[in-house]
Amino acid sequence: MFLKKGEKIILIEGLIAILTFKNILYIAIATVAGLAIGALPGLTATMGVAIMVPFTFVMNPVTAMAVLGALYMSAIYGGSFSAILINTPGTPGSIATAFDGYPMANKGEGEKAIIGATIASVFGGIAGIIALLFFAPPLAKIALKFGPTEYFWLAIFGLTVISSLGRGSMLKTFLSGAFGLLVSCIGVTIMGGAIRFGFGYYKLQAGIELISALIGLFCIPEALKIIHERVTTYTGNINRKRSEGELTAILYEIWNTRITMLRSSLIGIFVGILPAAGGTIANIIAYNEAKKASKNPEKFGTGILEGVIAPEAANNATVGGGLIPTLTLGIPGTPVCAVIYGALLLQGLRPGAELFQIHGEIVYSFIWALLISTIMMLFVGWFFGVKTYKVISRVPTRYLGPGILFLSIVGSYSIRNNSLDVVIMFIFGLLGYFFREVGLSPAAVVLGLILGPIAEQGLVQAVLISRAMGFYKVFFGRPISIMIILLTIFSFSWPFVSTFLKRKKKAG
Amino acid sequence: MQENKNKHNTDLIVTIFMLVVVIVFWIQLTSLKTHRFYVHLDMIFPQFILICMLVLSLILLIKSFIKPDRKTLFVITNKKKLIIAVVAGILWVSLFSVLGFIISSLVIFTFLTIILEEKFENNPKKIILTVIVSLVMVLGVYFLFSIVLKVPLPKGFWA
Repeated sequence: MFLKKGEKIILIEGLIAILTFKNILYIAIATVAGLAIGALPGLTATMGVAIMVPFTFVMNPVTAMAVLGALYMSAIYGGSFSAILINTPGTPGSIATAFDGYPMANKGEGEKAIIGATIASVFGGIAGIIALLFFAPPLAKIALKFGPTEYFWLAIFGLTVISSLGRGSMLKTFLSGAFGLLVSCIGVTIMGGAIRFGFGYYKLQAGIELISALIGLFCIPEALKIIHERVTTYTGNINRKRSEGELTAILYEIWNTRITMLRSSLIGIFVGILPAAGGTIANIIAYNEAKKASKNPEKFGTGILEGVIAPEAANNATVGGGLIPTLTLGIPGTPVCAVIYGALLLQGLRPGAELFQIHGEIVYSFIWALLISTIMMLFVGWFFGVKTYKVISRVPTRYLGPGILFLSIVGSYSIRNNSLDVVIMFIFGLLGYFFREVGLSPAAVVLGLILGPIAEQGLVQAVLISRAMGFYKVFFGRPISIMIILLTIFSFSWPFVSTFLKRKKKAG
Repeated sequence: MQENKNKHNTDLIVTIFMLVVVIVFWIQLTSLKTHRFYVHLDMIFPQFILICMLVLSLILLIKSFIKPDRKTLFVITNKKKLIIAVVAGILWVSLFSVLGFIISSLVIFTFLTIILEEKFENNPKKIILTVIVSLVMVLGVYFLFSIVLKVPLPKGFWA
């Protein structure tokens, strides 16, 4: 589990290799670029890393991997900026950050939210890197035991989060989630390859692009609201000066959330290891678990620090977690890891069991680069985040509303260079406006869109296997499946149980 | 009494919306053209979701009669601004590929920022400032996406 003597030497050699002026400069530039990419809606970490790959051809393997690693880590963190400041998750990994981050910014606590997100991201990032350094082989072996049934149950477990997303009617929240699942079915079917729910329009065979729907559901209602409703950007008192001792109080409040940070980081690491899951799911699960564990779950969604800390620690922890199966088994844990996998191959490095032995120095210097970038994030992110908050709060709403609309259009187009994605984004935007009015939950729709394909693929494959092995044996006969089913039952029933217990306590 | 009249039964609205979605998607699903060997596997998941939606909608329908959730919908501070924004958004989305990124964005972004300012009162200085801000914004985004990040943005029909 821990490093052997020879590996310790390679670890130090990796550190020496990365500590050159050129490498540190490149890491710093990549960290700032990653922050900008993550903060812009539509530009994801995957896209940022993919765009950067051709530029790394000319670099030596150590520098090339350092640049890609730093960009990945900071882009995941950068998504929190737009989630907090304009209620628009910059990356799908920051969906849950908007739930409490934006209400905090709105009531004048944006600086606190940014500081919290920064510290949580750094903590989560470091936790993921530690797991990658010390626990990679055993954790990768556990991930290999996940088959289609386990993925199906994992998606169902993820869907139980819906029960904690609703702020009004639970029925409407579940309907929103089901709507998201249904929309995720649009496109080519997994088995037969037919166009499902195409409505006679062949272009829909590519399905609904998640990020277009995400931008539409979150950005457009906000832009329209700003245009017709607001005189100022935020309703709270933004321009007041920070009082003496306020920063210490904020840091103390963040310190009090250390258990949430740790729990969310562990969730992030584990979800990151599972192929195809990643930060998109981890942040929502971590938010849900933080809400369940909180003494004041009713305050979630109103703008509390824990609601920002949990998703941000989790999404950055997926970076290290996702790299575990990528580097040790050659199975990418997240979409960005798939791009990094390709970059490794381009550099002549084949991910797998031998990578650490044959090219140990490069691999460890890559891990060190991730660590250096994470520490840089603390200073760069803190400074830029707080400054951006102050700038946005001063932008006149006649620029901000159309500005969000403008970035939404460019962002949704740039994902696949497809005009249809822009149209879909706008339709989802208008739907999101209507949903908010009638009490449906846009967040639950997004959750359905994310988990739908994972659940369907797992279900279909498991049904096929069950034809040979029997239904009960496949769905309920595997230990990991049983564990996830029990967690699902607990997760689903907890909101009802806790409400019942609270009522009983009050009555008593 | 008047106040209650303006409030709508949101449960009923959601039920109607979801039932329409269920019917439309169910009709689409029944006309799915796939290999007969796979038809069951391709339909199992969406069918299950549609049944769940139907059941949840019916429960919500019952609730809408027993204990409805009433709310005043679309409380709009400035109706004119909202309509202009939605129409401009539709135009923007439609013209994005036809006119190209720079022209469509420049025209609609400038139009929106001018129209949303109520205190221009024929102040040419403010109008010029707005045009300059729009120009910087559009060209800045073009530079970042198209030149730095190499994301090909639409050039329009004359490209």
